[in-house]
Amino acid sequence: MRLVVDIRKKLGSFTLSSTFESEDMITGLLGASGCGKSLALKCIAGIETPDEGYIELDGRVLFDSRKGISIRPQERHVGYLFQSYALFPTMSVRKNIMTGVHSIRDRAERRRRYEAAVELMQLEGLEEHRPYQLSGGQAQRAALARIIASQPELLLLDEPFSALDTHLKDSLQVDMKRLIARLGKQTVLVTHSVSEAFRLCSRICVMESGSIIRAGRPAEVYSNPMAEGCAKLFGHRNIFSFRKDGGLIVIPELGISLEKAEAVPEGADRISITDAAITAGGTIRVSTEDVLSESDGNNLILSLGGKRSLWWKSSLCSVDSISIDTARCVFLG
Amino acid sequence: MDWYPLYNSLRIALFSSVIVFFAGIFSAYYVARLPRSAKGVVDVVLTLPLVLPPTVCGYFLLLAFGLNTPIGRFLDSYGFRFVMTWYGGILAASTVAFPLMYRTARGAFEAFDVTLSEAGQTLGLSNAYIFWHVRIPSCREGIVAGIVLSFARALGEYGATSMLIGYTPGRTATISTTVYQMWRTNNEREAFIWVMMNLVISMVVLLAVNLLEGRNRRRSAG
Amino acid sequence: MRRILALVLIALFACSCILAQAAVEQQSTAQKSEIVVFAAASMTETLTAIKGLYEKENPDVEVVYNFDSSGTLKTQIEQGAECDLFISAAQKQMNALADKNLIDRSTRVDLLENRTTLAVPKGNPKGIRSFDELAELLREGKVLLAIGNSDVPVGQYTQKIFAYYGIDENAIKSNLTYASNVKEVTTQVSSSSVDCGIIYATDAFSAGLEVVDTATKEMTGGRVIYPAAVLAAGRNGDRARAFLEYLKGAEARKVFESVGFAYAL
Repeated sequence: MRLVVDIRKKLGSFTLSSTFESEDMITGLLGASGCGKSLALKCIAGIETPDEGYIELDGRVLFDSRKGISIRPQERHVGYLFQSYALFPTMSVRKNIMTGVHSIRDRAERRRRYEAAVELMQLEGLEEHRPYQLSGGQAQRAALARIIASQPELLLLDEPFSALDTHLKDSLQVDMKRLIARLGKQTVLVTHSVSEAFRLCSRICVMESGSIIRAGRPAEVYSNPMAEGCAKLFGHRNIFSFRKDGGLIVIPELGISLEKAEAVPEGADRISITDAAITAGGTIRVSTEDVLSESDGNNLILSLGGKRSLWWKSSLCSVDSISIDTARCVFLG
Repeated sequence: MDWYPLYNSLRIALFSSVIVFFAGIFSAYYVARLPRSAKGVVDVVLTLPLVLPPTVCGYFLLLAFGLNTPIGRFLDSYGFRFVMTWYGGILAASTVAFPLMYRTARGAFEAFDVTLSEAGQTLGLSNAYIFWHVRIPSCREGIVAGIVLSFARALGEYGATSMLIGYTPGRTATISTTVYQMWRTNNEREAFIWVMMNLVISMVVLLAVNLLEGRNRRRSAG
Repeated sequence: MRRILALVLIALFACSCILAQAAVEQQSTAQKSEIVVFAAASMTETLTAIKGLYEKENPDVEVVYNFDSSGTLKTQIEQGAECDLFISAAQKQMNALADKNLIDRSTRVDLLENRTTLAVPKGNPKGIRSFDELAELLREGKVLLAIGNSDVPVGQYTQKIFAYYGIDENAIKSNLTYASNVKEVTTQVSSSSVDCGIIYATDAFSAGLEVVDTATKEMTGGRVIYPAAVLAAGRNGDRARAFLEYLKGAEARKVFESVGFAYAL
């Protein structure tokens, strides 16, 4: 099933402008808070309306501003899992799930779908509980059961694991992956967690300030972020502008020049010096400004005499010279 | 002893409460959706009867529905009038009680988590279903408070009621206008009886509501 | 922006409060002596006009009125309200005060005479033409009549009229609406809220209402006389006496007669 999204919406000083297409089973919208990923999701669901654009799911037009089409959320058949799960607080779990099949006329069919959802989400014994009596994980399962019972064509998950404790996340993420595979439903997942996007998604779209700055397979996007915002999201801390000078890469902010090891990609104007590119000992003199200890090593803040400092994750406590291998750097821009 | 004022006050208060309930929750719902500029003005207008003296409200009601006015004459041609009838009592009581229901409903709706409504929409539930089965139950406490306040206000309404429907024993007399009439004509005994009766009714209503709320709270706290 | 607007509104409100207070204070510091007159509501327009005339001639005096039904005023006086001069719409209330020795008997005088009338709203919707017809309609239950309650003189006169026609007030209660003073009855007739009302000729005149019949002495159990007296406990006895004399005089008489009062002196 093909999902086509091409929308723009202005909210005060924020402008959402997102275009992507996906036929992948699980597509991820990855970005920091406030980048507009939830807004984009809501536009797909129909609970927010773009100022202009086009949304199509499996050949069905859900939104087309030029033709004045905007299908009500009730008719889009899109399931939306809210961050807070949005279970109706005055109804039992059973009644909540039954709202998912409210429009089904046939009593037997309603019963069937209900029971299938309860079984799939392992909610036996919790059916008469009220939402406030459920744990985080149970509430998520109940909310999913409700959505599953309504048999949507597309599943939208809005930061589904951010409300849960860390130690639960691992197993729940695995469960979610298996569930989606079992349901066979195309899913769009919104998250700010890079690891979550990588674990679950076969395709990710990285968003920043309302726009998609990089899209592709997770591994590909990770090894070649291309956009600075994307690199920063993946943890690149040493991003500097550079210029080419013959066979050298000149980095003014650090005050150094490096030998070019490979061809620099066309149009690249920034270089990210990764931890792997730095080795102790070498021609570059540094002074260790600061050391931040972590459970798995030290973060050294090195001063090269230039405007900015260099961060390096190492097991060492200090270092007075380093060398940088441009082959292991990432070029952006 | 003429029991008509009791019967009349209760029926006026009940009818008014029902009218004000629907008018209040629908106004609260739709006003929240108005654009910012209109919202402020409409809110002030709808809340006015709360801060205006009841006699001022009564004056405006006469201005609008008196028999010398276009609306009054129009209704009268169909044999219906608000002036000097118990229907006018419902009008007066509803007018002064409305802002109480409206404001409490507004407050309750504003505290309502809108993602619940959005979730309902994505599940295919109609907006009407969401309103009655998700929103109202979630806001139950605030709404019940509003109903109680408006019922109490309607039951105790005097100023606007007196101006609009006067005092006709057996026809338009309410507990409050009867108390005043009895006091004015030096009928202290009957005035006192009605005062006590009003006190008892009010206390019974408040006790009942407190019990209901207590039971709800215990149920939802599990 | 919003904050500025809110501050301006509050400032305006505060100013109006201060101005009101200043206005009130100005009145009381104006070194005038005050006469407090409690008078029947039916004298509102006439006494207000007379106040203007009197104060022009006596700039050091200020007349302050309390208009309401004579019954209410009597009760207020009995309960200790400050009053210098009392003018009632019936003897009953004055007698009650006299019995309690609250008035200076030497000043008591029958000042005015009024007539009790049947007034109808504009257009006379029920086409009532007389008290006789009213009595019939009341017995048949086909009319809504506004009257003063039993504490109000005009209400008491109305009860006399009912007795004259042999009408049992309790039997026709659902055709009556009771008001607390004659002005309220007048307003109800003016606004067409009722089919007719029993008020004084002077009230009907002042309100521009059509009078379809006037009650005779027999019907009201005697003439409708307005007695006046200076209160024994009044602080401004001399001024009150002077004002009462003025009320008996030619200028005041002109005002009273212009609305239909007759002099009982």
